[in-house]
Amino acid sequence: GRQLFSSPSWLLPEDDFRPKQCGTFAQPYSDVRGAGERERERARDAGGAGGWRSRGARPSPRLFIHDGFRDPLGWSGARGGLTVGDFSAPQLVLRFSQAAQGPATLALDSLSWLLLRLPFPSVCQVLAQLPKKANTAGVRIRTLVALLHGDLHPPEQLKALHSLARVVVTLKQGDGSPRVAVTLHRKRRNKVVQKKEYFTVLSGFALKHLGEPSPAAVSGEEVIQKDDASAVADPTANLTFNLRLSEAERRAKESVPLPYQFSEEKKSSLLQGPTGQGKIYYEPDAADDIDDEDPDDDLDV
Amino acid sequence: IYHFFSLQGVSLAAAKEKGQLVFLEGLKASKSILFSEGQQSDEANPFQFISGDGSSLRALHDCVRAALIPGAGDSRGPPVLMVDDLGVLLSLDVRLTHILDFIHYCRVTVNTQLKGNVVVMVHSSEDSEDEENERLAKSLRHQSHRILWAQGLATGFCKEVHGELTVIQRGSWETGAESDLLRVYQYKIQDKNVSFFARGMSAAVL
Repeated sequence: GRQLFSSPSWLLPEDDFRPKQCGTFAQPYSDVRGAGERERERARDAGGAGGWRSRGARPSPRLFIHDGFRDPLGWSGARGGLTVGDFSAPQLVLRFSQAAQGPATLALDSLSWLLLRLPFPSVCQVLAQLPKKANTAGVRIRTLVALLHGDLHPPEQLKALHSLARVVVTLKQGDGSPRVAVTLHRKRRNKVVQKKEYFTVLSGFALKHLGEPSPAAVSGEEVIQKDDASAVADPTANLTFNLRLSEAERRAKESVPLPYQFSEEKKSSLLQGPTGQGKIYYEPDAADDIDDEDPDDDLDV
Repeated sequence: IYHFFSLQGVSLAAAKEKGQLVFLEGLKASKSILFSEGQQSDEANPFQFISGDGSSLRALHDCVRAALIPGAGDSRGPPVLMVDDLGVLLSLDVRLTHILDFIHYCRVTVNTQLKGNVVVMVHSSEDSEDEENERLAKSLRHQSHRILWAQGLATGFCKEVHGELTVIQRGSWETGAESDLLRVYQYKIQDKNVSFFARGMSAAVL
C-alpha cells in the first residue's frame, strides 16, 4: 500500500485539511500533466510517481512547485530544478525562504525516490531537522506530507519512518471500488487513534469520504463469518443419508435389549435348574453294525 | 534495446532504412567493450557501464535521447521507446538505482518532452527470491499506466493456447477511473502474428 506521512505537526482538523488541499492542488496539477508529464501514482494530496517535488503553499500564489522531476541528477543541465544534492535541510530552507511567506504545508513526492538513492539516515535527519531549521530562517512549515510506496522499502525502514511521523495514512485498494485509508494518529498526551475509512476520488480531485465501517456492520460480518466457519467445520452437513433420529426412533432404539444386558426374565430362565437327567435318543439305521464288545469296530484303521 | 517509431504493418527493415526505427543492439555493443582488450576507442560507447566501472547509464540515455530528438524540419510523430529487457542489466551487475535513474530520464525525455511512450519489459514472479529484480518490477509498476502481464497457462501446455495475457489499466486521475481495470486474454503465437481471444474461446475448446 501507499503511505502518507505527516510530520512534524498536525494542526489542521482532518476535514479541513483534505478537501482544501485537493482543491488547491488540482489546477496546477492539470497544468503539469498538460506538459506531458503523465504521472499517476497520486495518493490523496501528493502528486506524481517520478522524481520528487516539494511545494510550499501560501495564500497568493498558493502553490509553489519545486520541480525535481525534470533533472534530478543534472544529466541534462536544466537550471533551476531541484536536484538530489539539494535534499539537505539548509538547501531546502534556502529554497523555501524565497517562495513561502506565511505558514506553509510541504508535500514531498516522493519519498520513495529519495530513499532509493540517498542513505536512509540522512533522509531521516533532513525530515526531522527541516521544520526547526526552517523556523530559524523565518519559514514556518506547518505540515510536511510525504508520499511513500510501502512495498519498495525494507520493513525496518518503514517502521523507522512511521515512528518519525505523527500521522501515518496507509492507503489500500479495497476489494471493491472504494479505497481504504487506515489512519494512525499519534496525538498529544500519548494518545494513539487508529481508524479505518473508505473514500473515493471523484473527477476534479475531489475526495469523497464514504464513512467508516460501522461497529454493527463489523460485528454482523463477524457473526456471518463464524457461521460459515462452523458450517465448513461440520462434515455431517451435506450427507446423502440420515444421521439423526427422531424422538420416536430414539425411544424404539433405546427399548431394544442388547445381548449382553441381563433382564430379570433372562436371568431367571438361565438360573432355573435342569428339570431332569439328560438322555440320548438314537435310532440305528441299516448300515450301523453295533457291536457292544468293540465300539470302534466300524473305524477303518 | 530497441527504439522505434511506428510498428503498424510496417516492415521493420524498411523502417530502419528510412530512419523510423533506430535499433540499438546491446549484445553487439557490449561485445566490443568486453573483448576490446583494453583498446579504448575514441568514440564513447553507450554500454560502457557494463565494464563494471560503476558508471551510471547516462551515456546510454544520451544515446537514446540523440536518436529520438527530431532534427529541424523533421515531422515525426511521438516516439515509442522499447527496452528489452531491463532486468538483464541487473544480471550485468548494474545497480538498481542506476537502472531507475535511466528509466526516470527516459520518461523525462520521451514522455514529458516528446509526448511519446516508454515500453519496458521485465521478468517477474511473485514467489521469486531475486529481491532486486522484484523491487525493480514493483518500482516500474508504480510508474506505469498500463501493465501487460504475460504468463503461461496454469493448467500446463496446450497446443492452441500459448499463454494468458492480463492487461491491467491502472486507475488514474486522468482517465477518471477510480480502480484498476483488469482484462484477461488468452493468446496463441503464430508465424507473424499473435491471436488473442477470451478465456475458454480457443480452438482447443470450441
